[in-house]
Amino acid sequence: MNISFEINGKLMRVQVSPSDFLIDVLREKLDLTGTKKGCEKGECGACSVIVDGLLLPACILLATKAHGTKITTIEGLKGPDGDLHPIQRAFLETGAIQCGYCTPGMVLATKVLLDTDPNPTEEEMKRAISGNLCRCTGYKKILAAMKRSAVYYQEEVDGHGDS
Amino acid sequence: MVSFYKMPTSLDEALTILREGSGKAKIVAGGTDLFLEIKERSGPSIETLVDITKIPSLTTISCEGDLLKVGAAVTHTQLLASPLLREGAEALWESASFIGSPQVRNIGTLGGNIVNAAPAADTAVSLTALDAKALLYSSRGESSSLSIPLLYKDVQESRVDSTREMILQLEMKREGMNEASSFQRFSLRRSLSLPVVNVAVSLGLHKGHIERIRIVGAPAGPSPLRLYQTEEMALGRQVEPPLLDSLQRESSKEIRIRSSLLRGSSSYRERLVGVLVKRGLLEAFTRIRKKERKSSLS
Repeated sequence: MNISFEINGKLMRVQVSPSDFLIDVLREKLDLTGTKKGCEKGECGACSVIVDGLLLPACILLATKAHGTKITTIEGLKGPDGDLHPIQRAFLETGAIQCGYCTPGMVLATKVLLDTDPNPTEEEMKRAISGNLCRCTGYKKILAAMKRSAVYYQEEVDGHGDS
Repeated sequence: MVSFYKMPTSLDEALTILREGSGKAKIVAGGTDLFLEIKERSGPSIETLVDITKIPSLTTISCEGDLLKVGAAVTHTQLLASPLLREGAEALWESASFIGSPQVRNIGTLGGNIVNAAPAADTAVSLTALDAKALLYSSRGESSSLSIPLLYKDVQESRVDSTREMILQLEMKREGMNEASSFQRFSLRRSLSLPVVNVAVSLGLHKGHIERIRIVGAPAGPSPLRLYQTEEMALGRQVEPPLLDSLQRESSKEIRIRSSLLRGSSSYRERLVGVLVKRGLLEAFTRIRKKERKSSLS
């Protein structure tokens, strides 16, 4: 069957079988390998993508369910000139990455949080990544990256206010 | 092997697909459990999946008179965003926040959590304490209304046969002035963890005395378990520290939980239930008091 969705701003049409999972369609058919396969049970968050503004686990989501939606994967975050998204910058600058496998999910979880609330508390930050496992960093640097991301978001808002 | 995935937009359409599938079509909502079974090929062979999440009547939360109605395909995230449920079904609201992870709550549905029939499903425990009824509808047009424990057939097995029937909605009375509930849970981590034990209580007072009470604990058998003996002990009494202490002891004695290498020994878990029952009752009582204060101020 044919399904279509808007992915990272581009309208795409793909042929899928009813039992294909979104993660496989992204990685194998659309070459978007930034979305990682971890536990394949919807528990580790490595496969998180943003679908219609919500963070969803692509490994347990049938591709068909995503028909007609707007999807953002980690590849969709870079700017028009290829520059990094403020959240990506914050993760790099704070050293919130070791093996990097959880990072796309962490970055997208941060984006969903800041898009809804640009000024979250630390507790809200922890809650926002409570479905994303990292086995390297112990989360401290990830939290630092999230805080710095919030500052960048704030600056952006202020910057827009000036212009 | 799943060959068809249907997304009907009306109940009639969904029931027709189910009927024509004659046993090989199955209802699905969020699919967080079912899709995994399909992945692991552990479930029975299904040809057609009937996704009910695009049917508007199943994805709404409403209140008619003092009856709260939650569509079976309402997600946990939707449920948590509802002020109606936060105020009128506190234990349910609290229990939804413990389901899976944010990602899972974004797609997993209330009806799905019930039909998945985990013995200590957090929302099933709170819904039992709130005396909720599940409204079922079959592809042949038969409807019925069942309380939550009756929906369980065996461990991890629901009485709801999703190849011929579905839950339309969960209904419960909205908590009024002298009523409140609370959900309590003990687990090894705060997110993405199964409960060691969980408890929900619902309390109704009349002139300071306990007029109605429901105490539910799990996992102590296939379905959430009401602790009738403990409830009996509380009826007619005033909520005071000595009573709470005896209810703690009584509920620990009444519930029987098995030992688990992962979730602790039987005696540990049974004692925990008592602690959570006391905490829950105290919380519910405090909530009733707050409501009283609020109304006397206004």
